[in-house]
Amino acid sequence: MIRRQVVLPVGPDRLWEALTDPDQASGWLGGRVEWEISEGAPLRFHDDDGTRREGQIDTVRTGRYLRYRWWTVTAPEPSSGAGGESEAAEVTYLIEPDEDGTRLTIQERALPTGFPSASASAEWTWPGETVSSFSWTRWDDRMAGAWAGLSAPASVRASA
Amino acid sequence: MPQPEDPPADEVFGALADPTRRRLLDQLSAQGPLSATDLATGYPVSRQAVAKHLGALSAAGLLRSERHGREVLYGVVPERLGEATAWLADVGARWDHRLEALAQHLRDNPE
Repeated sequence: MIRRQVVLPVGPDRLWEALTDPDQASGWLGGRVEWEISEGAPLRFHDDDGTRREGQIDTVRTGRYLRYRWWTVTAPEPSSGAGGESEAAEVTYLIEPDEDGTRLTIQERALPTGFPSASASAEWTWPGETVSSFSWTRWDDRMAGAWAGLSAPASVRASA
Repeated sequence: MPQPEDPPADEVFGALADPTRRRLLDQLSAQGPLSATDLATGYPVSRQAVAKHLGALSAAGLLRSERHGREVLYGVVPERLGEATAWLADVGARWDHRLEALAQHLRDNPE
């Protein structure tokens, strides 16, 4: 799992807008983003390196938290081989106030091989546990509420 | 269902979180395939405990086992570690790059 944290010299509303507005996200995410910020909505991402990804928005807590899953549809040419974001992954954005602006924590973790299945919203299995959409909802609320207590191993501060 | 023989990177790091498992992996990569009995002699834990750790490493795809007569020998699958670190490095570098671009975007467009 990758976790990155950055403090940005803007308010949470401005940060949320930069993260979710398709035109702004296309600018910094490194490709073209097509999505509508709505739970269950599909997303498409055309990376500048040729990778095409599809995915789904899973959780929206406006101004605070976003979770989506994406998976590679077309890998870049020539293939970069092992590694890369070829596996399906889950990405979360967490927004929190900070004395220097707004703190953004981004996480990406690989999802079990075999995902996505035919139905992205179907129940799917993590080794040793079954994850239903119901437990995800509780998980998201816990993350959005109490994630601040976790330490972040990789932390950078962006100067104004 | 996820395939146990090809779990994601997180499984690998979970399996490596335990110091005994890291030692077992280190020993197996240095000395080649060994049985649980061979391995247990060097550890202050029971043979059963060693067998359990070997099972966890196998489940993460880091070890493969082969039966030789009465014994099961465990050997390292080095590619699994490489895949996991490659994923971390690649995905991490992408986010470092994206977050730099985001910070720049907000400096240029603060409102």
